Amino acid sequence: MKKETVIIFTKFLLDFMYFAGIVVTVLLLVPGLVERVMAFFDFHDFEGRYTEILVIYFVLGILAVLILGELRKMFRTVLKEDCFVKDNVVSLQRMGTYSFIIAVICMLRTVLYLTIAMLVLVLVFVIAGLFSKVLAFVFDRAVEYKLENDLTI
Amino acid sequence: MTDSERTFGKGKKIMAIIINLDVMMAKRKVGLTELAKEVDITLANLSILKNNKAKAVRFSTLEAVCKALQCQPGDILEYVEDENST
Repeated sequence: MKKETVIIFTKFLLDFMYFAGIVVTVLLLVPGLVERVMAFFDFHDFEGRYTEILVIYFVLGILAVLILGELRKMFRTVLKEDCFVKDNVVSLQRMGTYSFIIAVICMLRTVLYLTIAMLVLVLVFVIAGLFSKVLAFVFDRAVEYKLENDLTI
Repeated sequence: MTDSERTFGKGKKIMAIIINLDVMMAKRKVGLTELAKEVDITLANLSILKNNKAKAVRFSTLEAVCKALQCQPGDILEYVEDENST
């Protein structure tokens, strides 16, 4: 029962973050909306670099949604009880690539507007990228072992 | 050449160990379903074995097959020189 609750919660969280991510990313394109939100929170930074930083956040949003999409795909295979498949290896590789791209884009952002938080994010996403790539290799081996085991009569 | 290339085909590479189960089954006049029941493995697994798709065979399975078909392991296992080996 406890395991089922965790599974349900994880699925809900993945789905929520995926669709919320799409909504938020798309909302960035609404003219003037972000400015209004920034004014509401009395945040006046990014002056002079507003458009560039908005574009950066839009691209980051797309990449984050792509990562969540891959995670949802992987979780579906877990629910089907057949998760040691090549598709998941590809998903992990992609997630690693997206994470590295996010790190690079965050670095770009620090050039425009330097904050410690963004530098920390760069490090976090580099580590996340490495984590995904290494896990992809491990998963690849696991898939081979499973195949060998399945074909051992 | 990896094991998977050898078994699942890239070009005309063949597995070096051949299972001649169908020959022995014909000699003993035993069908696939009957043999699967006697050996206590699924029909699907027996098909995998018979069609040379298996990557490994447990000794327990080999023992059960030999007992069911009243034969020696050498009657059903054959080594064929790999085409691409030197």
